[in-house]
Amino acid sequence: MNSPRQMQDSQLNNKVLCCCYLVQQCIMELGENGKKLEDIAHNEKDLGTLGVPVVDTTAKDVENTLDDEGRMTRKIEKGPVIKSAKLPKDIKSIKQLQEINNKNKLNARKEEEHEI
Amino acid sequence: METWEGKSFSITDPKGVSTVIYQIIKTPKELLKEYPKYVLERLESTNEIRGDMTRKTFYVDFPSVDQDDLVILSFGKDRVVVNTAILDGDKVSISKKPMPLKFDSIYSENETEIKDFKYTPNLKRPICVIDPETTEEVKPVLYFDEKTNEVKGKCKLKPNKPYFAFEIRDKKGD
Repeated sequence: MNSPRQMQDSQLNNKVLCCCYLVQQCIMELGENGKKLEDIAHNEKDLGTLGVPVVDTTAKDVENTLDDEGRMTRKIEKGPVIKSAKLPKDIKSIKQLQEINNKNKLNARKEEEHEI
Repeated sequence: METWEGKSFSITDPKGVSTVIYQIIKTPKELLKEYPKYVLERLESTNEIRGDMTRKTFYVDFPSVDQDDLVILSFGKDRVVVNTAILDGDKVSISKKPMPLKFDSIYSENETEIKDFKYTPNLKRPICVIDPETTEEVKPVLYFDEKTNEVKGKCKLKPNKPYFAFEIRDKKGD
C-alpha cells in the first residue's frame, strides 16, 4: 500500500533544482459501518514500540455550557475535569456555534473570503 | 446560558509521541456546490502527564446523530502513524491496522538554492498540512490576486524539513 517515491527534477540554466518532493504517499480507507475495526486495537505492550497510543474505547458524555459572555465550559460525566474555552464575543447561541463550528466551519470560511 | 451534550474519550501517548485527532464532517447537500464534500474538524484536547506518558482527553463537541469518522495521527520522532476510528454513541472503535509513514531524509546539496514555495489551496479540495515537530497545522494565508481577480492562498514551508499533508476524499467511482 505504501509507495515511496522521490522526485528530483527540472532543469534551469544548467542547474538541477529540486522542485518537488513526494517522499511517501499512502491511501487509507475509512471503516465502513464498523467493518475492519476492532474494539481494542492496541494494548500496553505496544506502547513505545509501534509509537501508537492506547485508546480508551469508552466515550463519556460531556455537558457543554455556553454562558451569556460566550464562554464555553465542558464538564465530563462523573469526572472533575472542566475545560473552558473563550469563544468569539459575537457567538451567543448554540445554533451560531454549530454554524461556525461548521457543524463544519463553512460559515467561518465564507466570512474569511468576504473579508478579503 | 445554553447547554448541550458532547462526547469525550481518552488516549495515552507513549513517550515521544504526540497524537492529534480530526473529526470528519460531511457537508450538507445544499452546500456542496460551494464547499468541499468533507471538512475536517480538529478536536480540542486536555493533557495529563503520567510519568513518561501523556493521557489526552479529546472532545467531540457536536457528535453526529449516527456516528462520526475520526482520523488519528500520532507523530513520533521520525514517523507519523495514521489510523482511523469511529465514534458511535459511547463506543470508540479503532482500526487494527494503523499505517506508519516514515519521514525519509529529503534530498539536498550544499549549494541548494532556497526559494519560497507557494501553494494555492483549493477551497473545494482542502488539504491539511501539519508540521510534525509541533503537530500544529500550517495555515494558508489568503490574499486577493488583482491580476486574475481571484482569492488565492499560500503556505510557507521551510526547506529541508518534513511536513505531513492529507486530505479526505471518496474512492474512485463513488
